[in-house]
Amino acid sequence: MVLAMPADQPQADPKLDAATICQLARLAGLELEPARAERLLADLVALIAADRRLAALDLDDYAATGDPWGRSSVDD
Amino acid sequence: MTDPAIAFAGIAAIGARYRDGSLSPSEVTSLCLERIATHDPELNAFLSILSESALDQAASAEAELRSGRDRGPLHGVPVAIKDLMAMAGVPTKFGADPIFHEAPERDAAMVRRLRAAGAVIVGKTNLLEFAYGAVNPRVGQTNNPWNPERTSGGSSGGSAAAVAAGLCYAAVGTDTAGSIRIPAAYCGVAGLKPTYGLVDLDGVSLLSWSLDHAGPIARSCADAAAMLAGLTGRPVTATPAELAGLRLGVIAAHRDAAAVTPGVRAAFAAACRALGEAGALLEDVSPGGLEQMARALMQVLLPEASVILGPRLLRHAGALAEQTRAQLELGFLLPATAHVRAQRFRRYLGAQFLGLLTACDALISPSVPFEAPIEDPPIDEASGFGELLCSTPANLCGLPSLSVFCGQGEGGLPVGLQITGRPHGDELVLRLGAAVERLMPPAPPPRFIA
Repeated sequence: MVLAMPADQPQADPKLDAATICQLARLAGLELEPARAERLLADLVALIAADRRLAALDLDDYAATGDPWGRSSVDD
Repeated sequence: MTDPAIAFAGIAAIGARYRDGSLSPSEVTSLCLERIATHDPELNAFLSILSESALDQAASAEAELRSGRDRGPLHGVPVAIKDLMAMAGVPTKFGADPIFHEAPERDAAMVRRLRAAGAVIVGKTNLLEFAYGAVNPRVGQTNNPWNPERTSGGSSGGSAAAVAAGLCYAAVGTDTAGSIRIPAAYCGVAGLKPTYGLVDLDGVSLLSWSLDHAGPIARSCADAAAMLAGLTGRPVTATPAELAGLRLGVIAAHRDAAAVTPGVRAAFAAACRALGEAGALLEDVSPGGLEQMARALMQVLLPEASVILGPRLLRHAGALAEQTRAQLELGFLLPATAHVRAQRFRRYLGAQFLGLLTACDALISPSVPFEAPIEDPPIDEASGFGELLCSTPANLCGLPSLSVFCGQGEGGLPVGLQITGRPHGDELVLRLGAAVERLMPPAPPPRFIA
């Protein structure tokens, strides 16, 4: 299966507001009051921006699983 | 030995006196319990003090030694455990509001190991709420034995303070982003985050399957080795490493970071000079990816903690510290792709560190950029993640990493030197730490306690 993704999507600026955060939370199984969503907004924007910076790195050679040091030993 | 000399003695010295009959586990356990009664009201290091069961365990240990049954270095030695691991019949309090306390019916694997090694468990120690970065106001922080107006750090602050104050001989901590090494540095003791997976976490309240570790906190690397041996059931020793010709990579970005205080900078420089004069070959190293590291750790930690703890804890959100609540909520909101990308980044970072550890025997840096602050700083963008600056690579890469006392900084507060080694190179890391202890002036008993 090939997923169609806009090539520039990882670099798009996050556009978030409290209502969107409440919706995202509900989808993940968490009921969030708008005031809590407002409280979390800045931190979430910062986290998503940090993820964008990771997305810009070339990590193609690295799997998301396995030993955290990447190989079973320095001799591999 | 006088009482303070006994309270601050090493595990091997206490054990030798047990075996020559000049001191007994009951006497030493009673001394620790008296010291806890005297000093803990100011320190707030213990959430449960287990006087009765500890004296029973000490009596059993004593009887066994008399009958010729010797369980090894921890036999009859008073220790403490962080209060997020299960101990049958003793409430687990998690540093949290009573609504979250649990009553386990069986021991965590580490508790079983400690019992098998003959250790005497004198109490369960204070921690940041669920080890997640914040003090619950109903519980309060653990105050620092060097200056009770400062924090002992977290999240294993109770364990580090109890050891530093001579209330027990070693303790267990857990470390997801530095929670063994940070309080060890603030309290002037040795704290080892072992290789990922080395210590069994069964029965421990987790934050993150892929970042959590448990390990020893003790007043010396030799004592930390004895504790690690007890926790794993494998022999570990910490005879000081021969430094001549040893290659040590100095993580320049951590040594030179703006957050590093003059006191930490000076103590770390003095330790580096001493290592060099002893024949070690020091070389600056610059692993890639350090600037993304703390945020990548949060991308892994937040969703994992929310999956593990969120459903149970957010039912009583009002009973949580605000920071704990916010972090748990944030974990539900990050895209899964952010978690996966951060997991990939870890392997990139791991390759960087493993490459350096092929050329070097170990990597060194300050353990924390600053001395113990008044209270634990939040883990967020606004704080610049400063407290976690040096500790997070070893969590992301699963590498063994030790904080060892290397001097005193501003206000006479202790400074830690961090030594990070190859996967499963825990023993060499402890041996290097023992060599640092031999080179540098020893940590005196904390001024407040002495």
